[in-house]
Amino acid sequence: MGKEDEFAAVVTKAILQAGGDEIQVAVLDDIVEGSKVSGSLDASIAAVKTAKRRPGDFGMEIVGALLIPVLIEAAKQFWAAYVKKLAEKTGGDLAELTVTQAKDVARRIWTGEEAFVSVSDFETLVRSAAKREGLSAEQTDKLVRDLRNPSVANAFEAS
Amino acid sequence: MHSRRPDHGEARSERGETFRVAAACTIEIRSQVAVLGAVVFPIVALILPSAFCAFAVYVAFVRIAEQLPSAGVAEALAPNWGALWAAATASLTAILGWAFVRNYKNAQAENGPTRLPVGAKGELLKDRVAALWAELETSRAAPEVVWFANFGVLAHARSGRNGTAIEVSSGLWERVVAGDSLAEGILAHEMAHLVRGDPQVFAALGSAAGAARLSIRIATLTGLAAMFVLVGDEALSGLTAQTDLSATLLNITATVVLAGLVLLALPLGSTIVRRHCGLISALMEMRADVLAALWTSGLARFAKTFETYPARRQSTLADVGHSLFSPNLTHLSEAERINLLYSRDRLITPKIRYFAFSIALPFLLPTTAATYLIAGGAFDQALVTGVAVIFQLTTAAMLLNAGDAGCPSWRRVILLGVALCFAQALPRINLASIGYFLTNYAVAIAVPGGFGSPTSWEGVFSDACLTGDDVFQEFLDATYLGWFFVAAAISAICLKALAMISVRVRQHDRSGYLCLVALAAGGVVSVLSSYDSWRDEFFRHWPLSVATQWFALTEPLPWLRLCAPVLTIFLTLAPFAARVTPS
Repeated sequence: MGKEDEFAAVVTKAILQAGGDEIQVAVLDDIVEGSKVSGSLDASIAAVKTAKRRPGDFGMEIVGALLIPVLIEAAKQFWAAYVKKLAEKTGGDLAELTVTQAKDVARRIWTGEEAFVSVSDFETLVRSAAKREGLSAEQTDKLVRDLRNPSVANAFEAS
Repeated sequence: MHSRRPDHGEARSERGETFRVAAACTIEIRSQVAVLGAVVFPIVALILPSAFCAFAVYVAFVRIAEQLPSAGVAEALAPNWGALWAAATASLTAILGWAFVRNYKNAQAENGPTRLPVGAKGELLKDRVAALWAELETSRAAPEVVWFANFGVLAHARSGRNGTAIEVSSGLWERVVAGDSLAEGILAHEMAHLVRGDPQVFAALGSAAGAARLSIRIATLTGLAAMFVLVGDEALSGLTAQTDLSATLLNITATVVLAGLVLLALPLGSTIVRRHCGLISALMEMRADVLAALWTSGLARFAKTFETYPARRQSTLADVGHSLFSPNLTHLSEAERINLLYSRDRLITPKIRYFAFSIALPFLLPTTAATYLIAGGAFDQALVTGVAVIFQLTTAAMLLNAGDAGCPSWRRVILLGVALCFAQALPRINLASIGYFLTNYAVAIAVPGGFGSPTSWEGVFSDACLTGDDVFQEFLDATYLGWFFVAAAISAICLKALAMISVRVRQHDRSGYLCLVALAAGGVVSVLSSYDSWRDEFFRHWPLSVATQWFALTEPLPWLRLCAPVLTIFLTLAPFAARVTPS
């Protein structure tokens, strides 16, 4: 899993935990486990989006809330934007960034210490991804409330 | 019948009706399983492939023997056709048995990655499942609940050595925790599968289809091997005799085309078995829907919940096509399932539109170039007859069950009457002339004018028209022209009457015995009415030989044969029903 994926997984998990979405957290853990086999978070998410119909299934296609893909997509875009701005301003290279350092970056963003990007930038990306994935207004608003929850920053420190 | 404690406010009569509807579904499922096990599978997965294997080996041996210099060796090698077929049948029987058992064991062992639900929401999920199960008044132990990661709202019922379980997706888990009524319906559907023992039947159906596929694959490979022997022999003959290369190539092409036409019957046979298994699966899913509706909110409200659910995928024309024709059918499309739940008429009677392909495919078998040669086409005819007879009996049995669920409408019984008469006519329509036409032109590639085939396009067109006319004449003879509609009307009236007397019949002291006798009589009449003098191998022997007497008896009113099965069932039961005072 690349740094972008790791950052996205860390941020997504923290937001879901802040929102009390235990089930989604369990699914994310499953997806991250799967990505170690498939090599990519996107491939693991794609596997969890599809299902083959078998006798004994209920068999009706009913779409569930795609919270995780929305957060993952937004977080990856957020990471890309952050890396680009950092490189432009300081010429820094994040290629060797560790997971711990990525969490630290996330913590600084959520506590407002980071100058280049803010939580509001992430909120914009989340709203845009939510619209693309067809989330309802209520679901999007809850996601935004959760990502602005102060406990998100604590989750980065604790992990 | 597993019931639910009646505390959800719906009327007793509505629950009684839904019981009857569920019982009707069970009758239809068992009938289709019976015809699959007794007719379709033996003919398509065993008899036809073994005949093909024996024929392929026979042809290859004969051709090889012809090339041998010593007549004595050739005679010693000359195969005995009967012994070959017997050996092929015995071998394939053993292979089918082995494959079925292996597939069944593998199916039981196959489970996707699942986990036990944990945390407060995990406990909530387990409690909801246990509470719903407890309402079922079943003595069976509650299933385990496991979950798997998937954003969709999915569920699966499984049963194996470790007991029963309901697998829920994370998407469904969230719905259950949120108290969504849709979630309750889905869980009830899976519970219906477990209560009825469906996972084992699904495993058996899949195993049977897999075993049939293996048998057919063996026959196909044997046929292809024989084809290569023939092609090789043609090539060798051409080289040694130094004949014109183009003549040799034409011979080889004709051999390959003819072999292809002959072997076409095998994948068609595989499709017949798979479609039949798929139809049974889809009927079992419908029954699970009906039972889930019985246990939750009633048929109409259950259907409404799913119809109006915003996140439900809308069915497309491709989905409808899949329901009607796919050999990989497991479930009907969402829209069709909902429409069926709204239609009591369709639920208590056979699902004609989905069954139609299951009778059309066997009907088409003689168009391939070989099956009509096996026992003079008697097995082809037996296959269509078996499916048609079970259609008659299933319809009658489901209507006798109707009772509290009410009479089907006139519209429905008229449709059934027409369908039953048409199904009764099919065993007497032989499409072998199409198979012969195709064989003729395959041979004509190498031997223009062979079999008397014309060598001009006008001649080919004329031949095609003659073949079409032949088939059309068969159709007219079997359906008795305008009298078909008289027969269909009588069928419809009998079906309506059967539904009307069903309550009285069931109240008779010996109702089970009576129904059995009536259905048996109707079945016998249906078989006799299927008699085809061109494919009468089985009808030459007692007791089927009485078919000629039946035809002689009904000669003044031959169209009566189309409605005779249902008429027989009604006339057998009516006198007993008349003696019962309804309570």
